[in-house]
Amino acid sequence: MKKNFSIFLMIVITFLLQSTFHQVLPSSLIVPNLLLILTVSMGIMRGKKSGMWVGFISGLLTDLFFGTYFGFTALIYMYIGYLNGFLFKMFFDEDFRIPMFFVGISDLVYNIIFYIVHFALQGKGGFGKFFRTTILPEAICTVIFTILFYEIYFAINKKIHAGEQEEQQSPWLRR
Amino acid sequence: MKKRKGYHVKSKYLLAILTIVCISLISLTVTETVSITPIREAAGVLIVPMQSGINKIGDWINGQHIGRKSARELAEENEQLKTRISELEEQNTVLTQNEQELNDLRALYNLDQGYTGYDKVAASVIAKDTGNWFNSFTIDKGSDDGITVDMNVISAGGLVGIVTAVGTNWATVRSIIDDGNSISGMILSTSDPCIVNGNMDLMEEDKMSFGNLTTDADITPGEQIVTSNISDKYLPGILIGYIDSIEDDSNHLAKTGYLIPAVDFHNIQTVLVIKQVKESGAQ
Repeated sequence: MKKNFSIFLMIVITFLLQSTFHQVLPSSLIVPNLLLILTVSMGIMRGKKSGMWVGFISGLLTDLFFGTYFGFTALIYMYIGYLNGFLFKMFFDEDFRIPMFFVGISDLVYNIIFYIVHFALQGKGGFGKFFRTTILPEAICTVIFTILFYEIYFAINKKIHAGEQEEQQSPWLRR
Repeated sequence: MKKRKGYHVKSKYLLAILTIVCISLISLTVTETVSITPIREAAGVLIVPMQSGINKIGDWINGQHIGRKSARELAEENEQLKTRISELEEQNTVLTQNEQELNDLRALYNLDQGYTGYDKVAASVIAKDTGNWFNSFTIDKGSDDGITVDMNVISAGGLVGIVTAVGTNWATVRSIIDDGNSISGMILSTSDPCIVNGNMDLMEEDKMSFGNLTTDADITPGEQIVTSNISDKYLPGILIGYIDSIEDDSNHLAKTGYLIPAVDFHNIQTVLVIKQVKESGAQ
C-alpha cells in the first residue's frame, strides 16, 4: 500500500513539474516529456506490471487536463511502460545510457502515433515539418533530461524496494 | 517458478483489461455518451492549487534579482515612477474627456463599443500543455468566476485564444497560434474580411498567416487585423495582430500574407477572459 502510494506521488509530482515547466524555466522552448521518462524508468526498474500501471495513470492525468481524446495517452503510455518492462532484470546498475536510448525510442514512437491520430488521420500532411519542429526536438530534450531524472527515480525506487523487502521479511506484517 | 509464471499471465491479462478500458473511454468520450467533466473538475480541485504553488516558486526565483537592487536604485526608480504617475494622471483626465466625447459620437453613430465594454475577469496562467504539440494552457479561474467554454481570452489588448474546458477553479485555453486554427478576421481600416490561420511552421517565427482577402484598397504592412462580425466563436473587433507582409495570390483574385500577433505568446502571465459568449451575444 505504502509502495503504491509512493509511486502515485511520484507520478503526480512529475506531472506538476511537467505542466509548470514553462513557468519555472521561462527561457526554454521545448518541454521534456518527464512522464514518459518516469514510465520507461519504472518499466525498466520494476517490470511490466509497474510500467503498465505508471503509464496508464500518467496518461490519464495528461488526458484529464490536456487531452483531445480521453484515454488516448493512457493507452499509449501503458503499452510503452509494458514493453519497456521486458528489459526488467536485464541490467541492474545506475547506468543511464540504456534508459536514455529507450526513452528516446519511446518518445519518438509516442509522438509519431500522436501525429498520425491528430494530424494524418484528419487529412493534414506535413510529416517532415512536424518531425523537424516538434518530434525530434522533444525527443532530444527528453533524452537529455533522462540523465538527471533516471538517477532520481533510481534512487527513489531503491528506497521503495528496500521497504518492500522489509515487509516480506516480517511475515506477520503481510497483508 | 510457478509463482513467476502466474505473474506473467496476470500482467498480460491486466494489459488486456486496461486496453479495453482505454478504448471504451476513448469511444465513450468521443461520441459524447459520457462526459468526463465531473472527473476533470475533481482532479482540478486537487491539482490546480499545487500548480499555483509551483508557479509562485517560479515567480519567486525569477523575482530574486529584484531583491538585490540597492535601496538607492529603488528610491530613484520610485521617484521616476512618481513623476510618471502624475504625467499619466494628466493624460488620463484628457482621455476621460475624449472618451466621453467618443461615447456620445458612438451613440450617435449607433456603433458597438468594442470589447472594452464587455465584462472581463483577470486570471493567471498556471500551467502549460505537457506536450509540445498544442499551445494550450491552464488559468486559475473557472466556473466559480463565471467562465464557460468558448469564452474569448485576451491579453495586452490582443486576442490570445478561446476557453476549451472549464473546472470550478481552472480553465483550459487554446491559443490562436495553434496549428490548424482559423479565425475569420477583417482589416480594421477597410472592413475587408479575411481568414487568419495558425501554423506550426510560423509559430517558431511568432507569425500567423492570412488569406482569402479580396480588396481593392491598398493594404500596407502595419495595418491591424481584428476579429470580424461573422466569426462564429470570436467577438467582433478584437485585435489579432499587425500585417507583416502582403502579396497577391497566384490567380490575382485574392491576397495572402503574414501577420504578427499582438500578443507575445512566449510570455503570457496574466490574461483577461471576456465573460460573453458569441452565441448569447447575438441574442
